[in-house]
Amino acid sequence: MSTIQFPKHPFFIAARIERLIPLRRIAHPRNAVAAAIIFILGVYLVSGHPALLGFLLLMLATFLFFYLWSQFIRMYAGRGLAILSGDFESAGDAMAPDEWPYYLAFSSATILSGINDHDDTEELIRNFLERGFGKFLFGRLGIERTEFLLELKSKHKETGHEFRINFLELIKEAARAALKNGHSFITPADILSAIGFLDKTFLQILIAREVAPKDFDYAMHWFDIAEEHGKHRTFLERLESSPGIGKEWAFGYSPFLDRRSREITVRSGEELHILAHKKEISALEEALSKDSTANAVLIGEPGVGKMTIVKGLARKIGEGKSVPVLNYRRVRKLAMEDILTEKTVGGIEETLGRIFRDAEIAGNVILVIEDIEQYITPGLATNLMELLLPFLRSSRIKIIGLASDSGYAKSVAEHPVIGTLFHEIKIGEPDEEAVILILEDTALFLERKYKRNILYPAIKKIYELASRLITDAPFPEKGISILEEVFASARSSGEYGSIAADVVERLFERKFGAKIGEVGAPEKETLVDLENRLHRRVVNQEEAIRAISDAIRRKRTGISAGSKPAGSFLFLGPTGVGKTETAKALAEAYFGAEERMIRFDMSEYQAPDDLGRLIGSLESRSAGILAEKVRANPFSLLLLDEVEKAHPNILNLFLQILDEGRATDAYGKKIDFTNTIIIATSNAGAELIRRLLNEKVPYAEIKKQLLDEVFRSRVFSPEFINRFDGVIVYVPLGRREVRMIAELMLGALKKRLEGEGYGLQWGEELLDWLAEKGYSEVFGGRELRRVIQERIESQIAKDILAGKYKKGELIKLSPL
Amino acid sequence: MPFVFLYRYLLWHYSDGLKASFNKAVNAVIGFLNFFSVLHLFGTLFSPWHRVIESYGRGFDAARFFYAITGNAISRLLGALLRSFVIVVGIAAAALSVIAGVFFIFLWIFLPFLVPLLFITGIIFLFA
Repeated sequence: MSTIQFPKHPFFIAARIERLIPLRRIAHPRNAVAAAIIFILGVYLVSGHPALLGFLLLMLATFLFFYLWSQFIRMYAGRGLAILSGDFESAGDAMAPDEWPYYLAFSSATILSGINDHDDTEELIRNFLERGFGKFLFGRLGIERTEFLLELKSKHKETGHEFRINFLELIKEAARAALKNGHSFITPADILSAIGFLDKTFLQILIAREVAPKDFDYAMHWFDIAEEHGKHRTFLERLESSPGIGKEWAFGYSPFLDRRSREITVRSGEELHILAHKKEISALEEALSKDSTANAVLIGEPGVGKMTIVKGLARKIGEGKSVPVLNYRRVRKLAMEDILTEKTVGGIEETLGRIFRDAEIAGNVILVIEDIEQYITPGLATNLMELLLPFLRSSRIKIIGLASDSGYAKSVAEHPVIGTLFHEIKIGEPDEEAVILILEDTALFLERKYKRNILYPAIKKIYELASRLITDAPFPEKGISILEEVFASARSSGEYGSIAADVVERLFERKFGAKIGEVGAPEKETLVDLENRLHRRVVNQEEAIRAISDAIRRKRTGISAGSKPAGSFLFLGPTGVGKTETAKALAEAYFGAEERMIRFDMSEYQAPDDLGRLIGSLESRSAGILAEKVRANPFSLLLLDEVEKAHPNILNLFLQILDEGRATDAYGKKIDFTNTIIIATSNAGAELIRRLLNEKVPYAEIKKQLLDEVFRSRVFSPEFINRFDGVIVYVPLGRREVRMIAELMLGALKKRLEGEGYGLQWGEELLDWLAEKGYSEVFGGRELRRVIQERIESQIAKDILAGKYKKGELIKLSPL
Repeated sequence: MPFVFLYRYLLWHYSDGLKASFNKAVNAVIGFLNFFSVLHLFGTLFSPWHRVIESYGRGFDAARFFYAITGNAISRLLGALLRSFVIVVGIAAAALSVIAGVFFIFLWIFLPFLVPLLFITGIIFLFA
């Protein structure tokens, strides 16, 4: 048994007291005593009874005792005695054996002070799990604590590994974890993290519950965030950060500016968004304070947090915690949307002129202009550069512009002086850790609003699915908007309890109309039975159907590579053999509806300029059809008919899509195809297929010769063909297949007529007749469709109109 | 054991605890001076009130000159008057917080004795 001795410092006495009776437990008694003092004092003043005075003094003594107690604990709560520093790799080793307790955070010391055998890992973990930190962490990870501990014990028993870790080794590892996590002291999170590092069984159990080490770290950070939110600022702290009275008296009034702009304030729930942008806020602060005429522009895509950075700076300035030249300035956002409603350009210029003059006279204004590139790019109808120029050079006004990458680059290219007027600060999309922390922070705010808790796996799922499926907006915006939708959806569905990952999956499934999570039972059936489902609509083409089904199953079970389209096939074969019908059948079987098919006739994209119609064009300011449709329906089947007719530049675009599963539109935004099935069809080599079939050449040989022919005639390059998951050769239909298709088509017609209230009947002789009349070597199944339309459907329509059939009657078909 | 607790508590009370009480008192004074912007208002004592100033115009026009000089003087005087008032209030608040701080520090010094004293006196009065 190994019991550690803490140094004789009051810090550790405070930790032991806190362990025995947490401070929060005395909050209510202390308030009750305070109320009793006031009451007894009142009664004593009226009655003057000495016993009441005695009681009053007792209450006062109790209150002061509670006061001293809370002051003692608060002195050390949230801190340690010495701050960790240095490289985290060597932090533990550099620590002297008896100095480690000084690096403990108060919360860690509180937990450790109640442990008898510090090498007993089970006791250690149990103590951590029983405290607020452990409850929060495991609760949010969705792991039952007792169950976890039992499993940990039994796993150790099974493997025969001793469930003990040398405590000093553990603390050294915890010190490394603390520095890695950016903590000044060793927190309970760091100690648990160290246990996870040193005890592989602990880690294995977490991984089995889909909690990776980084998830564990993110969830632990969540506790830090929650603690931070729980802190109440004291009167003194509020007094120090208040702008107070009179700081603006030496600056001018700006009534017109005040009407045409909004003050920038920080809402509750935005604190961590600001923390995540600490570096950028400092950069902005530095840029604006460089010289008296300094302005700054924040460059980044909409949604990366440019306004959050401005809010962060506004808060610092408002609290007087920025640099002296910026402190207590007013940060106001121009309401350009209102200003632009002026009827004439002259009116807009006059209004803006008045606003800027007002700001200049005031002398303490930082103006924020959103989408500034719209007002400083020559050629645009909203160009106000001439008007803005003198104010941008003024020392009495500071301007922060917010711009997109491409927009600002264009402005600078066309008007180089802009580059000299602004200090540029590039804002990139935050990384995974920052996004998860922002989502955790926002979640705490939304939990109060919607009165529901969310589990960590749900937050993780939001991050994963939003990064995979939402490609037209950056983080953190897309994550936050999904998080809000998740809370709203949980409330509207009337579900109680914590929001788990499946709620997020269901939301995405509704949003995209496709299965997203683990393969469920109904979908398993569809996948297993995919060949039969496709054969309900497609006759013959066994090889094609099998290849497609196999590829889809591979993708859905996660066996195939993830950064490619869900499936990609090149269908080669003559016209009318079922290529398009297969695509429709697949869209119906896999995505649930034929309408999930996006069809492009590639013969319409024969010129190089046609690329702009697909992915958008900056010149014509048009959005691409392909980009728009795939973004709106990422879970869909993209059919590229007659792909051989498309211009080679367009084929190059698809080369990238087939390879990487994504493309970039004319505006630099990503289009994601990883959930899209791409089918390209071509008639190339149709004659060769027919000839080889007549020569009774086997299917595999036909395919080989066909590909050779396609390469030789340079219809497609080998790299284009090789990008597809499968090249499927469709063989021409024989009379037997045409007869089967006729039956399918008549079945579909029967269904339609039944919907109108008529029955339909036919015999074998009609099918034979249709097989004869509908067979065409050149047009394949298309000829049959024409015959059925002209000879059967048209006749039925005429008869119905002539009153030959009444509703409920049976229409009998016979060869004409 | 309770004596060890008490001993270490008293050590804290008259070392770190006393230092923290002193810091609180000082911070309160600084906080009030900052809230009433005393230093800032001193620095801009005679600045025009909200920059309300009249232009003297081009050339010399006696009427305009006297109109502008009067207006600007009023603006500066009004500014100085209001600022002085706030400075006085601020200094008064800071002075009060100094007194309160000194009282608080004294109270802090005697608290470990005061608590048992109040308790014992209370018991005596209760059963007297």
